Amino acid sequence: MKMNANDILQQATDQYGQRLYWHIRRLVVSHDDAEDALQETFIKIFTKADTFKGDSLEAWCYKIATNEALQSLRKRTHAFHSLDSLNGELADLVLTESAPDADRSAILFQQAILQLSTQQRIVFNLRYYDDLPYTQIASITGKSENSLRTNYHFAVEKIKKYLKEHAI
Amino acid sequence: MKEFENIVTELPYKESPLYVEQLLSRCQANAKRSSRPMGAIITRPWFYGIAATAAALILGVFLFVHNSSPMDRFLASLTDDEAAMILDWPVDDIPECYY
Repeated sequence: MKMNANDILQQATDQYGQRLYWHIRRLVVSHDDAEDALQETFIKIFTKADTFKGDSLEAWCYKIATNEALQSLRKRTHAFHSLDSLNGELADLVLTESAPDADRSAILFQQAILQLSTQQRIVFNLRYYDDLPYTQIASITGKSENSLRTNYHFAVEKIKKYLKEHAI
Repeated sequence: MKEFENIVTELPYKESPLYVEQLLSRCQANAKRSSRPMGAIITRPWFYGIAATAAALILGVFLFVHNSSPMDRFLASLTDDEAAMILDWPVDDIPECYY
């Protein structure tokens, strides 16, 4: 049975809402930016509900959330610079956004993720934190499963190296 | 996940699940509002900035126009000499706001 826009929005909120927020937050780091991107995500989910083809609502919602997060980062990027040029700024932002009693290694781990390329970061977060299968990540990112596996592998290696350099 | 078992990989941010839940409810309500006429605009934060500026301007013009009393408006309609005679002030002391 085809779901209407209200059903889709309700399901997206109830089942994936928390995960979508944290997925966006991990990408944009700032809570305010995450809130704006989440709002845009929900507006798109509701207004574009008729374009949902009915295969995986989870992947569809993640795709919208990822695009909105990237859109939010693009607004912060200087003209003619890639999204990766923001990595240093985002890594600094982790410190200011962290809770006062946050574990040092938790902060360092996020900073390690933020020195990955944007593509690697998306793949790593979706696989490591959201535990999504590669087939699902492929439909979110539009990349082949093989290239996603390679991205994930290199992401893990880079994070390990970063943590080793920072004595964790 | 086995890769980083011996370190803390949880996010260091302070927002609680309850806080995110409330945020989600707000976003859901705004998303529904966005499908109404003008809804796509009124759910955007910048809309409130523009609306507040416009309201302040309208209020300013309103106060400017209505701040003058009937006496002020009457005096403004007179010539300098007539106003000076009624107020019993020298012509040069008639304030500019009466012109």
